[in-house]
Amino acid sequence: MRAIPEPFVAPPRGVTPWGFLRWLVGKQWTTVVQGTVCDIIWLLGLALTPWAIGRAVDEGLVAGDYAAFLMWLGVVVPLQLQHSLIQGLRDRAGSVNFERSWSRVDQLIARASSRVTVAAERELHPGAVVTMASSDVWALSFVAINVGSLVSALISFATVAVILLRDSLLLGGLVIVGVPAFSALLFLLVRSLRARQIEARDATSEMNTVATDSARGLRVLRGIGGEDWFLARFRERSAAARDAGKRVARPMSIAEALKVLIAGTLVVGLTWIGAVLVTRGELSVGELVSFYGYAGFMVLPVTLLNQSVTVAVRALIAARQIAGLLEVAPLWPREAAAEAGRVAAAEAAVQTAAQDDADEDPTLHWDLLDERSGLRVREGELLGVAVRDAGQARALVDRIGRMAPDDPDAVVRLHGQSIAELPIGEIRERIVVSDPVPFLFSGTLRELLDPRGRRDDETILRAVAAVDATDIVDAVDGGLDVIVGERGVEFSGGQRQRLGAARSLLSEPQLLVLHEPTSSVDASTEERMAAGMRAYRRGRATVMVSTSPLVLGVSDRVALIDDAGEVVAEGAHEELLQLEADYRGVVLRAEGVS
Amino acid sequence: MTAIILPDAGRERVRAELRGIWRTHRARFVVVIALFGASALAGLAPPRLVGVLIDRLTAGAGPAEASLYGAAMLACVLVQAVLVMFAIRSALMLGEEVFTHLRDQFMSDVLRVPMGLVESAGTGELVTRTTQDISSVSETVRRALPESLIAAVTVILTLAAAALTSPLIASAYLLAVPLLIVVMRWYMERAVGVYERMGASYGPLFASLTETANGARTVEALSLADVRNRSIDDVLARHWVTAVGRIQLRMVVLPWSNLAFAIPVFASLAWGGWLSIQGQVSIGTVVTVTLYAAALVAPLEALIEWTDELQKGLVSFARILGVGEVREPTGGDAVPSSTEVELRDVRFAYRTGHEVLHGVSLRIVPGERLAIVGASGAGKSTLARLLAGIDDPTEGRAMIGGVDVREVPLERRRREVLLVTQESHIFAASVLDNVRLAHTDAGDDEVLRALQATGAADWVDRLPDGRDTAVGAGGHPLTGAQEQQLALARVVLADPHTLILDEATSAIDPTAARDLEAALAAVMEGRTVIAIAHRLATAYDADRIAVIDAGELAELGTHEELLARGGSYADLWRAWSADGGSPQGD
Repeated sequence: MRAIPEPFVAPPRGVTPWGFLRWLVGKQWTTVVQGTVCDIIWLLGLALTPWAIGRAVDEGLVAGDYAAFLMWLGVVVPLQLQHSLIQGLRDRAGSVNFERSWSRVDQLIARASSRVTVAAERELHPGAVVTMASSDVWALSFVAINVGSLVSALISFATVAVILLRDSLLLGGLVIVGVPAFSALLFLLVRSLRARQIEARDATSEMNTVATDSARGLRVLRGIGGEDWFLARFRERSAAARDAGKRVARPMSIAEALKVLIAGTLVVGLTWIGAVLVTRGELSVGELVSFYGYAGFMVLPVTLLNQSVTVAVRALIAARQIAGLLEVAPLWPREAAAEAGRVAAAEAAVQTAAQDDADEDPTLHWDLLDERSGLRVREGELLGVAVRDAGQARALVDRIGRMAPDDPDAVVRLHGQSIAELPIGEIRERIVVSDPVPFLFSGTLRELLDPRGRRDDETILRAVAAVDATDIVDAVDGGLDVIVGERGVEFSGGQRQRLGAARSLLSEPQLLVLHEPTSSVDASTEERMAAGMRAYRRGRATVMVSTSPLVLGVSDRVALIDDAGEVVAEGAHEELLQLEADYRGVVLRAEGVS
Repeated sequence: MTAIILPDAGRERVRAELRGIWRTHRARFVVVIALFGASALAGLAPPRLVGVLIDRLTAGAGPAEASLYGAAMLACVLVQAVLVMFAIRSALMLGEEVFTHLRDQFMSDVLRVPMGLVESAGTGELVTRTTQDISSVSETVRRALPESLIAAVTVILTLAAAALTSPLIASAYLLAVPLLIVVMRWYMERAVGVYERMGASYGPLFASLTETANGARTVEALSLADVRNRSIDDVLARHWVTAVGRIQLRMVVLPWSNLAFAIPVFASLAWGGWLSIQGQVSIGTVVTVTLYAAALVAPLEALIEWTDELQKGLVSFARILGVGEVREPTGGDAVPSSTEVELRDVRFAYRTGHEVLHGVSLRIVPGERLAIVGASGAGKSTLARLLAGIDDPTEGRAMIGGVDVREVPLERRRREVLLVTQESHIFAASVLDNVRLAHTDAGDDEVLRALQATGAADWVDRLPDGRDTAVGAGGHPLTGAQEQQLALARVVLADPHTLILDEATSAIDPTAARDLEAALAAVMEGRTVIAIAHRLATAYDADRIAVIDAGELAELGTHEELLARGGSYADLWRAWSADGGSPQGD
């Protein structure tokens, strides 16, 4: 059987919802065709059975000729066998079609989600992406299956119509006009249900919000109380959802009853007319039996047609969501600006090389300047940055690492060139920022520390030792091979912070920006971390934004940034402690609860 | 460090619950089944009438008689439609009742999951049960159960009708039984495993997507897009393996079961035809019995289809019931005689053989500030959990006012000792309600005072709807510091005499910690405070300091005493203050 997921291919840019559905089906047209052929064979087996049975009744039973009867039964057998045996293949084609679409859309959502959530920084909530993955994907995955349903329904309808017309113009005409009319009627009735169904769905989703909210915040509820209040809140919503559900029960039961009524009237009506025709000698008894069979059969293509419309409507709504997702532009252009950037970078490199020859000072090989604050990072140094204001600290980190939207008024220059003009991929390779509360991915501990699998165990353990986390690795069964759950739930806050710091060390960038890397660990661990990270990064530019004296103390140089976000003092840690009252204030106030 | 997970209910329990549901609503279940039965009966009349009509027609009946039969059939259809309406309505109504009761019970179970389990297992699994499993059970109750009920009733009644019409012809149906038994047995043996595996393959898929979306910043910062793409491709590939299992199962079962369904149609026609030509039965009878055989196909197919759903529903049902099996023991009704908190020679192990605390005794003086210091993993947090009654000591006792912490009823315990963690979940509710949950009887003015105490009142007033502004998921966004202030306001409102602060400020985004100092100071005012300290300044400010080393209480005393002793605390302090962190300058 084929391999799923298939290699990912992005849908065309600026695709419309309809275009997206066409693209989705087109990507797997081979299995869609297979499914359609199976559907046709399956439905025709059913459609032709009444015809053969009618002949068997007329030429066999009515005529009293058992040989002729058996001969016509001989026609019924392969029709039934065909219908039965194709079921397996038909189901297989349907499942394959479903799974192919499903994994394709999931791949698409996964690929779009990280870009979209960063870009929007709240334009799209991460939760919305997950909802999309659970509900919209379902709606979209039925489209490919539906193609076969639609085509086979139309073909079998036409086939039966032709047979009926040949037997009786009146009955044939009635079926051809009546079935679509009934079908349309049914569809309209079901549509009128929708308002109440939406009401019920809204009530249910409100209830679910409360349920999910209390499950997520259960630590708080169990810790401090409020369970009863929440339960009451839930019961209220639950009762509302129940009442809305009951309100839907009436129209829904009427719709179901109408389905029975319409299908039944069709069958009975045709039989009735057929019976009258028999009394007039215009129709044989066997043909009447056939008519009864056809009328019963016609319910199936009608149902399939209705179902196709429903699926298409739902899929279109889902496709609109996906198209919206595809429209969100990335924060940093990846391809378009890349070419221009690469040229500029090459020019800059030439210039730097020229400067290298002229200048003896090795610190000038590489430098980064944040124009907004006036902060300069030189090659090979360990720079401590003390920022009083929390927001300023985060903004500084985001600017240097180009994690925020490019701002023409706050240029960051690498060798004098604005990093906004460099390809984003290159920036990400060269500059890495590490957050104080790291987001850890699940997988083995090795994958967690070295997600891209570029380092050997020896290097990984060296980085682990540098952040004083060897005890964490030693304590778990299996060491680096241990499986870590979502977000590293097994680890304490301090352990997670150390593992996150080790992960950023292992990305081995030219410039590493560590934002409060030791805020969750105790003082002795902090001291060992500071020394370890310093040793690990020796000779490579590292910025530690921190207010901890233990961290700032190991820096080659410290810069103090004031509330306006500007560098107001630079120098060695001890020097600043002696000379700058502001610096003393920042460093000492950081010491937790006072 | 093995993940602790929520249990699933056993088969016995599931059966008992199902019996309970049946007993509670027995009368209404009977009505629903009777209505479905009656509508199925009305649906069985037309094939019989067609058979009789054919016999009459071959005997030369006129148009008037034919129309009589037509009208009768039409009447049956009408009756059937009306019965279907009532049957479905009452089934839906009943389904709503049953499911509402189930989910209310489930939520009440969720809200009683022991704190220790929530802390160690995380909330992810609970959220899965709250969303996916509940919706799966809902699908079962609302659709799978009634539909399979209709199908079963229809099958039984159709068989009875065929036997009544002509036992001689209907006996031909029996030819299908051996094949049907073999096919169904083969299928049932495999289906549960196949569907369970497939059901289990969705979890990792959503987990991978959720991680990618939530960790977007990290994905960007570390260029992990390719890694994440590979992750989703991996879980999709693993899901596909389970889907192939399902396809292979159905590739076998569908042709064979359909063949089995076709046998009665063909056999009754062939056998009935021969009997008819022999003159033993009428043509109409043959037609009727054959039509009944054909009418069996749809409900039999439905039964097989819904069996899958029912299986899935049962699995989810067991998972939902499982949550109720870990209810917090209601504890005793002990009443503490004082506000003194004490640990007496407590030992604790998360796993047997891996003891974290090796006999710690510690008496906390009411009103004091005690700092607990020690390296990461020394057992500080475990100590805090024992003091708060979240976990039971393996040996020894954790006590408030002379009685075991766990013997004090939960509601009361929270007014005594409260553990403040880094968790500051904001619920989708108003600001007022978010705080009030700590003391649901509190009036608006009490809540407002708590907001004022933590310095939140100012910004709360500036919100679009003031204190009634909806916050949390889908509401007005708050900063980390604001969320933390609300969390602290809850503590003020809960008003315990003893507070245990575990990473209360240090593990959140440190950039927000600064704004919270005042709030935290207000919260600690007038209470006994046990602080798990990461920063030595915390220890310096404390009345006493307890140094925990490798699960044992290594040192206990004031800052000066410990410095004078020259032990591990003195070493730490010297290392820290030598780097300029001396608090004297502050």
